[in-house]
Amino acid sequence: MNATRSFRLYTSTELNAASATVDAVLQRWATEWFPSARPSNVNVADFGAVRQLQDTSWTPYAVGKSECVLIDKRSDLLKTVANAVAGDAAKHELIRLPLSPILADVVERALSNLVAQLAVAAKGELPRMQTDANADLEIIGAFGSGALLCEFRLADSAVSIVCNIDIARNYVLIAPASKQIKRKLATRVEAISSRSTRTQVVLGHSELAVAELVGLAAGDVILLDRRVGQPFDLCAMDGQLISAVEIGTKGPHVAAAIVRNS
Amino acid sequence: MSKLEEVSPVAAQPVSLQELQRAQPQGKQILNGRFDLISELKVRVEARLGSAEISVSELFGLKENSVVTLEAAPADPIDILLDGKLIARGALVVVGDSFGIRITEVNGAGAQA
Repeated sequence: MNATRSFRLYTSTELNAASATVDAVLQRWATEWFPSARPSNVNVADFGAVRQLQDTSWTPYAVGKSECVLIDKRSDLLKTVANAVAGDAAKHELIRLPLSPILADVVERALSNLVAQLAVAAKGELPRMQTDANADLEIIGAFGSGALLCEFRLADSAVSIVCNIDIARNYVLIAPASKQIKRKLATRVEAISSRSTRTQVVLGHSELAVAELVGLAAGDVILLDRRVGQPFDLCAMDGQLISAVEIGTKGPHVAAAIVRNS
Repeated sequence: MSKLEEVSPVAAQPVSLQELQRAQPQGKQILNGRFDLISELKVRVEARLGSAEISVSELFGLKENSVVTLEAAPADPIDILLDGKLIARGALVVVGDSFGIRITEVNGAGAQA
């Protein structure tokens, strides 16, 4: 096993520059990281710990004490990602999921790992971001402000996708990174779709004084902020409203019927 | 009753605060469990009918009139939650033109079940 390294996000400007003149930019970075190295002679093989990666599709062009740049040899992924980040979202967009609540926990975990560390995997596997054992999203590369190459491990299948995470606009843009990835996209979307999420039906809320709460006893009636005739709320577990619903039964269970888009 | 005219602006001196030097806090808690101080504090409780686990594709496939089956049965009590923690259970009732919950059991120490 190997050294862990921290990662930084590159701005889309940097990425555009990188995609235009990859070699020059990488060389500049490499010079910054390895002041003693000759700028014209930056070579993956110089970076001992990651030498075994040469035979994989991922080439670490430069690995430093604190940063790492990865290029997909097959598809020039860096460039692809740069385009996806820079714009032309419609062309790349395949599926747009609300960031919250469905993927919020996943993405949050993943993002928190961004400031964490890059562990170069043993056995010549892809370099991976270190994630906690329970994470179902693993970042294997970070490009640009908020663009991540992620591996979802869902429903027994591991899939690689590029997520453009737009916190400000509150969505995750999942774009194909390359033809190879495009081919597998159906599997990926399927894998995400099979992820389950818990929803709840909330009948309403009530404001109580602490004294009332402490004195609460069987037989008391709490008035809810919901009038007869108003629908109830189908919510995610974090309280995010999904839709208005009417309640009833279905077989032996309580059930909720969607009444309108909210 | 304004004091504005009684004090000359020249007589008003600025105050500078000194660093507080104190030993470790010790002795009895001065409030000693006086919860009456917060008795008027308002808390927001939530009434939850039930929950259901659905897949992302089902979630995004929801349309008007789609039915989500919850894991609860009609006879099950409704949970009253405070910050996600169960504090009581009850039954849905109508009071006038509002919904309410008639408490049937209260959780927690000191409360009557």
